[in-house]
Amino acid sequence: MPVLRGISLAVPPGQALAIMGPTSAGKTTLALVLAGLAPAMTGGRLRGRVLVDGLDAATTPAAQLSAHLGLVFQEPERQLFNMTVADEVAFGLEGLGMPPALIRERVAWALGCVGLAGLEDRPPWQLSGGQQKRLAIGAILAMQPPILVLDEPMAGLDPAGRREVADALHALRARSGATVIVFEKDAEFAARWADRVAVLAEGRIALDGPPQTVFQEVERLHALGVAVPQAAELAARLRRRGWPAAFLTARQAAASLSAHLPAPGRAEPPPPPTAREDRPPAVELRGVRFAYPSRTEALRDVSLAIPAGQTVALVGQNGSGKSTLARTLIGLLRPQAGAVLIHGRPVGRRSVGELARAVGYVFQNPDHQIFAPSAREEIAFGPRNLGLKGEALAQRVSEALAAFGLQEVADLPPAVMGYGVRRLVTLASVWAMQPDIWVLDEPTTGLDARHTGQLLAQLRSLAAAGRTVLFITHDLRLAAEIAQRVVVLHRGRVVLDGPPTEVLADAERLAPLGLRPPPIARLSAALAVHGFPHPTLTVDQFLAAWDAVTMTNGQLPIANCQ
Amino acid sequence: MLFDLYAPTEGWLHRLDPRTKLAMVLAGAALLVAMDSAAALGLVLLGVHLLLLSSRVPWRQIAWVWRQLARVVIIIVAVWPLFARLPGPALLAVGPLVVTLPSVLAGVATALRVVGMSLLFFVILFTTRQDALVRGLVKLGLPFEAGLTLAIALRYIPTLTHTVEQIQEAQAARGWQVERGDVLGRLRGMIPVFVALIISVLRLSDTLGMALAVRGVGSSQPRTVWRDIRFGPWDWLALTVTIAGAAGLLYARFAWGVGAGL
Repeated sequence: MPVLRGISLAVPPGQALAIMGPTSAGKTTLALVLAGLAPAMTGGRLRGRVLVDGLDAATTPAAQLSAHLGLVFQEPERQLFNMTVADEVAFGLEGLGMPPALIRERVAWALGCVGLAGLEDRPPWQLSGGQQKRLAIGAILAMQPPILVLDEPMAGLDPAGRREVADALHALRARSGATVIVFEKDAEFAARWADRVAVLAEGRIALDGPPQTVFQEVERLHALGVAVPQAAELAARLRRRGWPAAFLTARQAAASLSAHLPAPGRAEPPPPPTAREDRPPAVELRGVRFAYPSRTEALRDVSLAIPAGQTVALVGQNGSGKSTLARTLIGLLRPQAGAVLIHGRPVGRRSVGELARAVGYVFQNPDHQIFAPSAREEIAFGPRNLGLKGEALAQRVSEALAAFGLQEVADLPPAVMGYGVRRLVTLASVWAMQPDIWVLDEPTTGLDARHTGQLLAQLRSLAAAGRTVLFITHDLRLAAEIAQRVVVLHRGRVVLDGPPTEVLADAERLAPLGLRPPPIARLSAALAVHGFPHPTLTVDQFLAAWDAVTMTNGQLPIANCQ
Repeated sequence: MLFDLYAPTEGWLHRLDPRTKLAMVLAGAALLVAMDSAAALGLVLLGVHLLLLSSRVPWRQIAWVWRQLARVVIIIVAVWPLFARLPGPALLAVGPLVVTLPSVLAGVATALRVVGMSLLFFVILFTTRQDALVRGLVKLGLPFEAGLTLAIALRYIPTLTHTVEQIQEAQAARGWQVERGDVLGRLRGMIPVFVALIISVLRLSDTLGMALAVRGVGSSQPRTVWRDIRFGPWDWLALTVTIAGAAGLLYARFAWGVGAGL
């Protein structure tokens, strides 16, 4: 089956191009073709011509092409194969046959460029996610190819890591004059960074132009499964109501919208937070402490009660203790002090398998569980372990397949499916166990807008069915969309806990935790001086507030036209 | 947990050329093979520990090797005497089973030999950076690609250990348990872990191959080496001491029978 179907694209020197697209659109394949790795190392057939810096990518050996085009892969784990940071950067230079003195110079230069100076002797796998990504970029940058290609540089990073990598890429644009092509799902980043955005869908270029133009096509992008900057989405909705709005970031939006609002000085107090329900907790932690051997405490005296039926987002930097907390709920880790209670019963020494009856755990990496020869078998594994058999088992599996729209691929091996589908298979495999409590560790990582939408719909229907859902995420926009409550962990402690409007809009309290409110929250904060009701977190909330304010002020769109 | 084999403590062993350390390991191995008495083997083992500690390899890492070997050691010490059946004063006699003192000593000696050999192997891994090890082996005649493959295999041991742990967690969370019972049943129970591991390794090696290519592996350009290893005066000294010491001890063993008995 063709992955790329007739792509023509010319990238002028020095351009910063972001290529977006849903998973399985062919992004990675295109990156491999540009680097001369596909079809040479992947198999397959290539028709048409790919010229890189004047060289034919199909016939030039990848190792030779690497002096002209550098490719940074998505997963740092699979491209950092040296024992120290400095060796990692020097490796490619040795391959270029560079004299040692020059290599030393280049290593220092490249590490400076990506902000890793001083970490020369550290083993790469001990670095944080953001540092690993920057090291992978530095290792390619050191070879000074005139063209750099990065496959999903933001994937799998926490907010601080994203900021680090974004800063490095901005610096790269400003200083090096290299042509940089980034394959990326993060629309907020693409909108800020790129000169040009191309959207790849089903192997073709569907949209191509400057970000201001491409991100105006909100409905088209939604249909393609491509994320849109939150502010651009708001702009599109306002345009549909007759407001002349065109912006990509919260700052642009604030500048543009404040003109339609009354003069500053009439700030209204924010609406009182919604009262919380009082039901017996499905999950409770009492003074839980946990420390890994030879490391500082991952959880320091965490107490938390989650009522049955509540949807809770657990956020915080990497290393703040989120996954550790989640693992204690199913007995993968046993706290050294304190107690974990599920439905009021202490976890104690109960086995993971036993706890799995009540707690469904969706791991971050779907590939750590997929083993069966078909999706059907993969999904049947859990319920069969719980003792389900025969007709009841078959019935349960078909229901799970249907719930995630997987009927068509039921008999295919999940290992060869695309990432998004593999994720859905793992969700279905937990769904089939019908747990009362769901724990999801960064379930949207690696998913495109369409699969994220599917996941959100499922989480909403779980909540509607009275299930308790605890999900770990770095995506505060996502947390704002579906969580009833947001818990922020920092260095093993719960530092913020409350409804999204209370927690996610508070820029001042989030900043020291390495977090930032989503764009709409920043926008409504900026407009608060004009009497705009703050906080609003989602486009829907903003529009409702906007309608109220503009109606009462009599500033209908028509009035602006006069 | 990711376990890093290399101990970055920069002791004197760390500074030696890997070829020197290879010679030291070979000499140590020759002694372990030549000596028979538990006491002599114990002394050699003590020497290996002193070697590691004097180069500031942390206790924790040495203890890790012992923990890995604990089961093997216990089995050897427990089972060896039953089969060695060396003549001597009986310590225990139950029916046809006679455990004599010399058999027990032989068991202990064998266990010490196994631990000693392993620790010698780790002398190199603990004190040599991956690139230096590869350089050493390449300078001794190994092709660069083979050396690189070895280095990468070592580099990814901790990663794969971690992956296995994560896979076990993921399957356990779906109610998976290794079935108790016969060996076949247990092996069958491990399938969900084995298969997931193989798929993960295939994905890893796929990308890794390409990541090596974009960093110039396979290019016709001759490679340079930015931090080459050098055989310095300390290496000559260490090599001389090693050869002299090993030769002396081996002479003592075969000419005078030192460390020969049990």
